[in-house]
Amino acid sequence: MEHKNRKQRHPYLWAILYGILLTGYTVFTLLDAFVIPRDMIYLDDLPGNDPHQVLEQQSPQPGSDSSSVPETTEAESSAPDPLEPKFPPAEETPAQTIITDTSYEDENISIHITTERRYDTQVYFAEVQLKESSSLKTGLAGGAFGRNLSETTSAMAEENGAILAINGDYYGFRDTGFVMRNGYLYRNTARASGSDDALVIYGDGRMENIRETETTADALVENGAEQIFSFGPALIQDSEISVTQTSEVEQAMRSNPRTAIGQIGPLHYIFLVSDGQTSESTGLTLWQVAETMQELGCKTAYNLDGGGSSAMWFMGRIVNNPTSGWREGERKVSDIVYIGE
Amino acid sequence: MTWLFAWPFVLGVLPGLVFWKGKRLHEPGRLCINLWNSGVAALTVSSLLRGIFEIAGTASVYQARLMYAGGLMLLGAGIVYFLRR
Repeated sequence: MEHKNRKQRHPYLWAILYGILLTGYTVFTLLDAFVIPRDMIYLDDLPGNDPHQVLEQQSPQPGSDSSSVPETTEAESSAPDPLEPKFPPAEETPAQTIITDTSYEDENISIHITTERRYDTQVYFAEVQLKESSSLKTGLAGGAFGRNLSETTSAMAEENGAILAINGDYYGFRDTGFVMRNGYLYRNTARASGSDDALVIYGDGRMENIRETETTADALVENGAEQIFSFGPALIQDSEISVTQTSEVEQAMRSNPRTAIGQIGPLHYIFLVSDGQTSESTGLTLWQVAETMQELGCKTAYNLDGGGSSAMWFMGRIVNNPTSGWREGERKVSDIVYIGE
Repeated sequence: MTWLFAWPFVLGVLPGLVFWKGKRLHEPGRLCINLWNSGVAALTVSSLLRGIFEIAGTASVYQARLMYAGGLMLLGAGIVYFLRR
């Protein structure tokens, strides 16, 4: 009788305890995925604090196969840019720095920002011409690599002394995909599902779209990679659009705020950001981004994280209108691509 | 997440049909039922989490582990049922 009464007093004990356990596990899983920082590597902990020191350690040693180091051929270095530069040739660049609301020029860096209306959307593109590839850099949120570390694009740009910055690939939202920043390889795990297109920027400033499943991060490092981005898809390959009119990034809407980066010629780049998901700007499809980049003369172009992450920062201010659909303002992201001295 | 409803629907209706039609089957017992329901709940929550992560563009190893745990609980319920016979 007593045994039967005890069972009657707690008929739902298993359900209650299991419900609490399952709820707690679910909450922990969500916190782990979206909130809890982990797997952190601080820049200060890298071998030598200077990332360029790390780069030198990873460069091919003298006497190694020279074909593994990407070199600009004579043909490439003398080929004219499809777009007529909007700034004076290097030898005519004034020694002083000239800064306006939409441009920056000094002896090493030239940036011109243009705002246009395309496809019912405000599109901002920055034409960047560099004298040295080392002016193209990346920054990490909190000065560290890790999951769920994030800061706004403007905060990272200020911390890194950037002249121009855009959001990166938000690597910190995933556990897979090659991540290399400023010469240091942080993650060499290829993505197994979805798009595995990655963008490599070599030490000489050359951009190349690759597929993570067709190579290894270590091979890219040996070939002189300086930066590797893992978002995608590749927009333009060898001057040809490489997306279809129905391509989209997994669950994203077809028309979105976008961020893209491309190369016109040696040390000549386009940084593109568009608004979207607002009453003023519809947003762009991947095809429209690719078309725009192709029209601007890009031979190689790559899609970075868009949506609420899209942000362009220039000389202390945000150029575009970042939005997450219902909320205006910058979203915190894991990394930026920037131009700096 | 599209098939989120399928876990409790199929795994709830299916045993009901089996025991309704199977006149020679014995009662499953409280432990068997608890394990089965816990497995269904785990699979359902795992499916919900997977949908959230897919929309967000991320993933979590803990979501996969929850799915495996749910499968193991269903298997455990089956073992308990046959042992009880």
